[in-house]
Amino acid sequence: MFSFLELTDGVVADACELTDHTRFALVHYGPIVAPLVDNVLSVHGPWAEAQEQLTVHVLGTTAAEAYHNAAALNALLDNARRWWDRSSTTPIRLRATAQDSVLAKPLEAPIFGRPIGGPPNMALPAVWSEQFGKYVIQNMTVAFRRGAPFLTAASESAAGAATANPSVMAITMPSAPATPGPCVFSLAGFALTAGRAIDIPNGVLLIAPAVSAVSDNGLAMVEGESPFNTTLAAGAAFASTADAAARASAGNVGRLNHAGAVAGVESRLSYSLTAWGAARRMAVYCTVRNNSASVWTIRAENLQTDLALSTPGTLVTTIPAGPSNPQVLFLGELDMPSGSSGVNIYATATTISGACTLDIDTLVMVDLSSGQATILQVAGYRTTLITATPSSSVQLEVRTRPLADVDPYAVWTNVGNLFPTSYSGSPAVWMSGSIIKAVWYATHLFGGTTPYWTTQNAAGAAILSLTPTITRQTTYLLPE
Amino acid sequence: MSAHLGIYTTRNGPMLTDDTGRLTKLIVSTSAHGYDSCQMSAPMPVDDSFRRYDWAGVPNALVRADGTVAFDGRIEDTAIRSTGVDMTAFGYQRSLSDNPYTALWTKSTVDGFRPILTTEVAGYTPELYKFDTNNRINITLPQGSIYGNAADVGSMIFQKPEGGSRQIIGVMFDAVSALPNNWVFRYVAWSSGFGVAGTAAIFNSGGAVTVLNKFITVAACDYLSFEVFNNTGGNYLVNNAPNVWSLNITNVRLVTATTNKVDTTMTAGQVAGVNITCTVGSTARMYVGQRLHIGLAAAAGEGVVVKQILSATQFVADFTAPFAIGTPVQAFVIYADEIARDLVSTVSTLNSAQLSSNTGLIQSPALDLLSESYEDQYPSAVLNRLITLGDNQTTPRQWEWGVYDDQQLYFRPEGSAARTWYVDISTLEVQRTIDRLFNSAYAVYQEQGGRTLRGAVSTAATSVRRYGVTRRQAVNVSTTSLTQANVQRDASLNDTDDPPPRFGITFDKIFTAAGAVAPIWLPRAGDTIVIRNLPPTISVSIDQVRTFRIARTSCDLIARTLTIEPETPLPSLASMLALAVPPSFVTTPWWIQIRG
Repeated sequence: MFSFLELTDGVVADACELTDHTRFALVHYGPIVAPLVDNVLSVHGPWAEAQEQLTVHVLGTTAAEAYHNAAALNALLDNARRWWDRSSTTPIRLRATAQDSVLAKPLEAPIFGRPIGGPPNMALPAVWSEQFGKYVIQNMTVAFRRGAPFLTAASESAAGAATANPSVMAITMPSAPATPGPCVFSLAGFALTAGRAIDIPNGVLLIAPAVSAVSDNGLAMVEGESPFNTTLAAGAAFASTADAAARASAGNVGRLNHAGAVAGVESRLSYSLTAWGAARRMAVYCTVRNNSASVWTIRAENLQTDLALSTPGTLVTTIPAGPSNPQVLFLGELDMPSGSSGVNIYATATTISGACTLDIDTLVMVDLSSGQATILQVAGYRTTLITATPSSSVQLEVRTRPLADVDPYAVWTNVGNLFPTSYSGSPAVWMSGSIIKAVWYATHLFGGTTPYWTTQNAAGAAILSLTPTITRQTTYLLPE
Repeated sequence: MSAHLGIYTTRNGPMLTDDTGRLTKLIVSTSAHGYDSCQMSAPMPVDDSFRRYDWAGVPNALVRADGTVAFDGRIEDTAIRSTGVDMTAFGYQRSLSDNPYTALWTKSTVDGFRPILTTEVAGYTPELYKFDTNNRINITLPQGSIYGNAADVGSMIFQKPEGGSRQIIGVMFDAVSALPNNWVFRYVAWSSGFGVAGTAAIFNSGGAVTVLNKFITVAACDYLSFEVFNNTGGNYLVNNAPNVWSLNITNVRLVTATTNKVDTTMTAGQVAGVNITCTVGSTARMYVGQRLHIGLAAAAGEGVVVKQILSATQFVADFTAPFAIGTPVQAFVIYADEIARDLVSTVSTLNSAQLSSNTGLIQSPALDLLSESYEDQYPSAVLNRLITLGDNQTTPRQWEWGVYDDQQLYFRPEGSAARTWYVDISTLEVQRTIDRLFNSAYAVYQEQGGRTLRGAVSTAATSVRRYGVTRRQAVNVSTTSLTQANVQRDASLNDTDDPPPRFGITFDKIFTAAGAVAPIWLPRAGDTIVIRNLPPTISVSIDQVRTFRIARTSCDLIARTLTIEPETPLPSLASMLALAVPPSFVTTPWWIQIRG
């Protein structure tokens, strides 16, 4: 079934080709078709790890050489376990080519070593015999765990257009695979100044597959000043208010004024979404600023069809008394049985104090029902490097590289240097389809003193433009 | 749908590790006070395990699924095995059990008052007086005693709990002065160690019996004393009939906060009489049964009890004297939310990484508390008491406290932030019991001298008719106020007069009200479950079976199961429920159903 099967650490001399009939002769290997994973951690993709066995004859011109070859295979499997234990940086891969495959190169899957608590790497038969002019350890079984998908060594890549943040950045990939593939997502445009200063705010990176690059589906952003309907508490007011000075998205914010309202009575702002009929779950984020000494509460609700048909909403989020700087709020998750046509935002001041206004700059909605959306809270950097470097680009990378790293992770990079970062949320990016959308969602306290609604460039002089790039490997559940 | 466990130095600190990829166990749970625990296991080499063992501080464990926080807490327990590490994190509610709390908030009893000794303060001669605290503070000048001028002070002092974090700043009381002419009745505010922080004469006696009611804001102090002394200009010999000269103080109330005090004035002249409507600037924070001080600071003043609140500007009481427009109307008021806020301040100041100082989720029960003093109690114990006190609603509600997201303490009516989830059950077991039934109750409280008093019995007639038996409960309340005692009685009665049955059910998915399948990490303790597929005609008590509150959730993110414990589980905890939400692309039901 296999014209080529190999375990390798990438070093030719160490590789164990199981189909070369020189050191090994493959007797049997039936790859397991990994099921969808039961748990919700999914760091190795949507599929469970495969626990497999294969059978080989180990060959040698002498008995000692046969044992030496078996030991070489065992060493690879030990290293695979060490790699999985994160104590080695060399990944071990299973490379396979099915007979008559049209693929140019073998497919590859990471090996994690022997099953935890399971049998040893290899079970040697109690007897061996001399055949074919060679010493042969017959029918040696090799047990190991591997990452479920077989991946192409080559990858495809595409970049989106540079756009001012926050905005929905759409990337059109060269192909539209039905099976999700591991992706490296990079976001370029952040900068390191010649003065060695980095000033990147904490932010939320949202990535989701989409059907269309132009409609709202998958991942949508709306301006806070643009609700299609408002139902305000008695005495309350709502207006689009210019705030270009604080670099509001599109220059304006939606300002809700409850100075004349009764404390605790909610105002409703309705925002529309198009092409969200297939969504079943979504997460809702917004950027807000409390301008007064009032405490506000805010919550979101899914809107279906019209104002009269809304479904249960998120828990109430409290916005402490201000005045405060712009901040990103996660309002929660909305579940809906038959799609969405918009989001209702309910807000009220629980105490009325002074001007009593709340500004909303933008809202971002992420469709979670595909099971592929990635939401990652990433810690930024505000620091000065010890050594002076030229001005250069800093980019955020979310790396899902099963053949290189045991775990996916996020990192800031600068001309090859890695700045480790804190993040919260799964950095595993597995995407199918051709359209992938992303939003970098962050407010910015530039220099630790000047508050902005959006991420600023290195000089703090303008809203930063960012360029997304996705590199994706193609996934096969069986080597075909 | 992807969950992630990150471990950080502190709640908002740098990441220590991302162990998501190696976890073999990840169970997060919620309980009555928010995020409860997170159990984690991961195989790893011993050197890796010991790195986790040696982490400095109390690392934060944060489980996030699609943006939603499923658990947020601190790692308290780390166990090293030869094959890996087990860690257990607990929610930040635990930060309220880290350090004991000592503070006086309000006191309305006379126990604890005692004479100041000569050895404590020179010039004080308790042996020249007779004192008692028999439901009053009494200072009597015995026959034959001789008192020097401006000396030989007789004093009754109260000392706040030693080391307590709050100082006395207000006192109100009734008094009957029967002191000799030119004797002075005063208060002294003392700092710890008997340094004088402030003092003022309350009344200069003219020799006649005088009834007083006072509302006094004093300099912040650790002790407060009521004192009498001779100010005649010479020695004073008591030669009248025995025990005529005395001072009696009753209805005393000390407070350490005045944020919510009633402090208004009459906006119309007031006549004397019974059931008189009094018009004031605002009746905010007034309540029926409340004792108000009426009068200018320099006047004798009158204490009245509110009998009825008519509007935002009018109340009804009995007045023995007329009062002019502009007369102050005052009372001290202490609410539980003030105490909760102070607990947050205390904890977040001491351990700033363990609890947010944000008090935006603390609501007010608007119920005046008369006796709240804590000595060496953990904040969690204080909060456990406060949530049982009820509120100012017509049917007093139970309250709840806890910590969920952003390390913020919430203190609010039970269920007020709960979400409702819907299930279709596949098995059902119901046990009716009257074990928890109490459809009649009375309050047990204290008079000022500490004697136990019992309030009127309140009975839920509907419940008695329903169950055919009266089961009565004594509700112990730490207060001298019958009003507050009855509020707590009613809150308890409301909670027990129709107890839910014990039951266990099994179901396989959990839905929102709109019918959407919800992820298993969203339901939390305190939320409500509604069984959709029980017909409403099946029993007259169907609402008790069909709807229940979740006492505890346990969500296994590896096995993808959710276990829910209702408030009234079956004795064997056979009420353990489990479900797993299959991905939408799985067509054959595969979920696990567990019966414990």
